[in-house]
Amino acid sequence: MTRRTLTLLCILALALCWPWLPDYTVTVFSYIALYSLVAAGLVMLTGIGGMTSFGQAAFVALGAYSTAWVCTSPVATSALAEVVAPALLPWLGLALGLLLTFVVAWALGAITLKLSGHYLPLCTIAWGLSLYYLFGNLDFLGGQTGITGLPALTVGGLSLASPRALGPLIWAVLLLALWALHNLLDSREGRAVRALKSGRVMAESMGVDTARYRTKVFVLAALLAALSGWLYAHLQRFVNPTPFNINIGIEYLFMAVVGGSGHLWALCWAPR
Amino acid sequence: MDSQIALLLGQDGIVNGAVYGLMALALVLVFSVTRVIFIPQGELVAYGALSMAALNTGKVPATLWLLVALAATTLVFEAWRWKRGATVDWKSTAVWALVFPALACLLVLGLHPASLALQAVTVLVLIAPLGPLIYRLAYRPLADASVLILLIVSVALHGVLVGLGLLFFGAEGSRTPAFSEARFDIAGVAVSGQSLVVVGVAIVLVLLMFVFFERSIVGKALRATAMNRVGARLMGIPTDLSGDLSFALAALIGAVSGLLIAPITTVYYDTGFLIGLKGFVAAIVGGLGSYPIALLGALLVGQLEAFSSFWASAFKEVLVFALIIPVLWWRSLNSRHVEDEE
Repeated sequence: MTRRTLTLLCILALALCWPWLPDYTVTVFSYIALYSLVAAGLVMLTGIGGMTSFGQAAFVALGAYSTAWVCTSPVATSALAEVVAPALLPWLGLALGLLLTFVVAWALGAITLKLSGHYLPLCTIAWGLSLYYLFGNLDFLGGQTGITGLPALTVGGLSLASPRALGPLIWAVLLLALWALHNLLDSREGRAVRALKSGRVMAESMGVDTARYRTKVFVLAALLAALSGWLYAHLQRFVNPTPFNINIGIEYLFMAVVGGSGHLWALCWAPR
Repeated sequence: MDSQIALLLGQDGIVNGAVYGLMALALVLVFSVTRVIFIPQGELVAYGALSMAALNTGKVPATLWLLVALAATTLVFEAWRWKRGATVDWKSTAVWALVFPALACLLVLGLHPASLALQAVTVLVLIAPLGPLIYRLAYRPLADASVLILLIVSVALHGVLVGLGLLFFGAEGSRTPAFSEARFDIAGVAVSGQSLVVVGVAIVLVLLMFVFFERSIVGKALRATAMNRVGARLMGIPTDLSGDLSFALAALIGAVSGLLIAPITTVYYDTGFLIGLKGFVAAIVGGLGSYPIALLGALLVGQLEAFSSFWASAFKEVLVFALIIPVLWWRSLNSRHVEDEE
């Protein structure tokens, strides 16, 4: 039995017993998938790209807060009420979250990634903290109390309010992301990314613009984190700054490291 | 805002900046000698402050037991290494794992220090050997690992030490009596004696460090190790001992900073992390390599913190940590070459 069939069998087994699992287990599995999504980005960043980030939780927060703001704030909902149906608001939130994360990650990456290795991890701790305090102090984001009453996702008229209904979507997103990352690593671009870790001078001499690829991988990892944040916000239906503080950011990195930061699949059984 | 408030805030900023400056010095020292980004530096500050508070109330600070435990573990570890055929420098091991812990036990349990000065000395004896002991147990076995792995060890160690701090000192914060109750009136601005003590001690420590690194043979050996480890070893400098020494200095500076801030702010078990990180922001201004620029950076961080707590107190931490972004941007403008990571 190859690893591929084993993985497929595990996924199949999980899918088959999903309706009969107790509620608690369903929630835990949903969280595992959410954390794995962030950790997958970190594996790309740390294990394969050779960069370290303690600040992924901040990108998760960007994703979660964007959708929370779009779906609940009076300013956004009243402005968008005539343009889109309420059921589509979370998707606008996703778009805003990804856009914001892209801009922030690209800007941060452009500044820090050109410098040598140890600046990036320190810098990520600093802006991880900075964003955490920012979310805790902005009144229109609810401050430390956070934002309540996020709507549930609806897909094709089907409401995904309970973890049991949303879980399959989270897992589908995770598996799709892993599959896409796997394919990416097998491509020409992916080989360039893998060359980043083992020595930048060698990669540069082969015509790989390392600074550019480092920024790309960094943005990719940030986008995965934002996606996880969006799913988290609609799973929890409540957002506050606590789950995005620097300790959680450190935990995300530890998940990736414990799972063996060089392999994409390893992370599925690392978290929790 | 009038000039009175500006002067007051400026004074506040200088006092905070002095403490961050000490942090930055310790971090730059440890990083340049051992390539360890010593995140637990902040915890040593909290340990120093809280041990002082415990001594003040007549209790035995639990850091003593931590010191004894670490010393015993180090002895066992070194004996195990010696048995496996590694060369062990027993002289330095005895200093850190026997002499200092014994002295600390004697001071805390035997002498029950009552005066503020003696208590301060006791805290220094308690905290300073923690540095080299932590180095020997956590970092030295990995001395050849990459900066990244050492950093991850640091983060893990930070988690362990914060947890132990909560166990030792509880969740309540502590404050200690000021070293000086005096108040001065300089050009219409009230200056407390304690802030003069902070700035004075910081300046003295910086000058001592300067003399140590510029004039003494040990300091020069440390600098040589920081510059080129292999070269230093070829010149007969025992580079393994330089790790001990730089961690001892860092822990000493941490303990002194803890003593200095304990009368100014209430210190909790997890206060140290933020103080240490602000030291990092200052150290990064200097590129983790330059002492004078790191000190300037520390003053900048202190002033920024003081003034932002006046104008936008809710966003104080946001502004201080966001400072790192323009700093790095400015640094990235000056670095054009591609660096290979070890």
